Amino acid sequence: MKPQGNRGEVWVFGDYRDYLKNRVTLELIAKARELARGLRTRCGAVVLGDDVEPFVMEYIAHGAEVVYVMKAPHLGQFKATLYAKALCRLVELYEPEVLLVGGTDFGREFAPRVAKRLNTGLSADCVALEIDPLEGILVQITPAFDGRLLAEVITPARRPQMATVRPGTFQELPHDHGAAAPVIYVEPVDPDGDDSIELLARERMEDPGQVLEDAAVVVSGGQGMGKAEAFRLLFCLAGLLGGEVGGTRPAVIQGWIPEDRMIGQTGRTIRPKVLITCGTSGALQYTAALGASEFIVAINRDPDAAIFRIADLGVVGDVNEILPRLIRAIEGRRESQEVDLHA
Amino acid sequence: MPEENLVSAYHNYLVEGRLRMGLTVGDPGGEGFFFVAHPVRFGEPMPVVSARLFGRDGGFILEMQRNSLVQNPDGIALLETSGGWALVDGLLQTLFSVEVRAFDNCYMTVIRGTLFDPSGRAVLQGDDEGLHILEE
Repeated sequence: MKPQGNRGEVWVFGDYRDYLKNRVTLELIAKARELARGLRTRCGAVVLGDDVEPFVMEYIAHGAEVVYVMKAPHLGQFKATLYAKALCRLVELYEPEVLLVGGTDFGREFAPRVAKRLNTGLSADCVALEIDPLEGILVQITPAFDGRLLAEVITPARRPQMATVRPGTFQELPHDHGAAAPVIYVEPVDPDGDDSIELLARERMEDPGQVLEDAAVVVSGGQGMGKAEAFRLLFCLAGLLGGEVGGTRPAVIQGWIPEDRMIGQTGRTIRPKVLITCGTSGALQYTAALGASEFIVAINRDPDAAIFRIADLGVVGDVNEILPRLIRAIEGRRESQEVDLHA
Repeated sequence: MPEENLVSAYHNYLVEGRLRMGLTVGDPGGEGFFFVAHPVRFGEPMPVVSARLFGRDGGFILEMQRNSLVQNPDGIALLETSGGWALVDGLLQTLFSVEVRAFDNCYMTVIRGTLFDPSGRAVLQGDDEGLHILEE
């Protein structure tokens, strides 16, 4: 029998692996609350697993208005096939209107399986989500045609409306110790006896790009850097500022910076306090991934470059002349501060 | 239909393997058995328990109100432990214990032990899965 009264909610799948570093679920909960207001419903989080209690509490503290829990020892490991079965069971029971999944490695494997099972659509790597005020449906804004344009995708008939969103796209809500929310425990699905995937071991891989997403200062370079050697200036500047270095797709294609440091719709989404973007034109597929940056400094020799439209501070000039002067100035200031400290 | 419990972002008790802000078993105003795990608000000491407890033979043991022993004819001691506290009799046997598990931003209390009513029936039993309600 289907429970009554919970239908039509906006749900977020709880990806709590690598917690506290992985914040994508908290970011999606914040967005889901906003979407839920537009649909006059609740924002729900779904938690599958075994020892899940701290994550349930954390999601409530970050804005979940109801949490659905399926808890069992055989759900203790993130496994796409079994988790898809479990989530689909919950969807069938409670019929959410919207289902959001973090665009992590697991989410990218898991979400399409869920969408296939539910026979609904899925927009991958959305950079924005809105509720159409007239139709009351989710508008999923996602890069298309190799990132050359942003497409608005809707799922008019099938439910739930599904989307994946990469980490760093939205801003999480502050932690609220005083929050409380209902939690619904649902009977777990059986383990898959005929599952073709058997988990033998788990090994953590380093993700160099993750530091870029978490960095407070990012120095980024594009085609306008002109040569691989110029990227050394970016690394030097980032080192002085305690930041990280990223690059645009053209810079990656040129081989000036590794692909795991690519910023853009098909790369990393960043949200530093300060971004210094050098020799970047400001193409849409790049700037769409900078949205949450707090202060943007742009250096480009073309005064009409689109990057200046989103910059808080623009410097017109050749990066290969400006960056060495900037580096010398910072080094000089540091040395004088060190002298002051010793005085 | 699945049960819906109100859960705090800050502190909860583990009951039947599930989170609960608080729990009341029995009548806290009566003369019989009762056990109350009070909701804990941010910044308050935790956990907070009130209870009227009886032995296996049905004999009255003690009454506590918000962690303070208000009736204690048998001289039961409340001892602090590394993760919480325990009620211990003169033979150093534990009536029940509470253990607060600290996570990064929140807390969960696990209560262990067996609690009896005046007829000697086990009403609550606690283990690693938290409290289990045997009789209400």
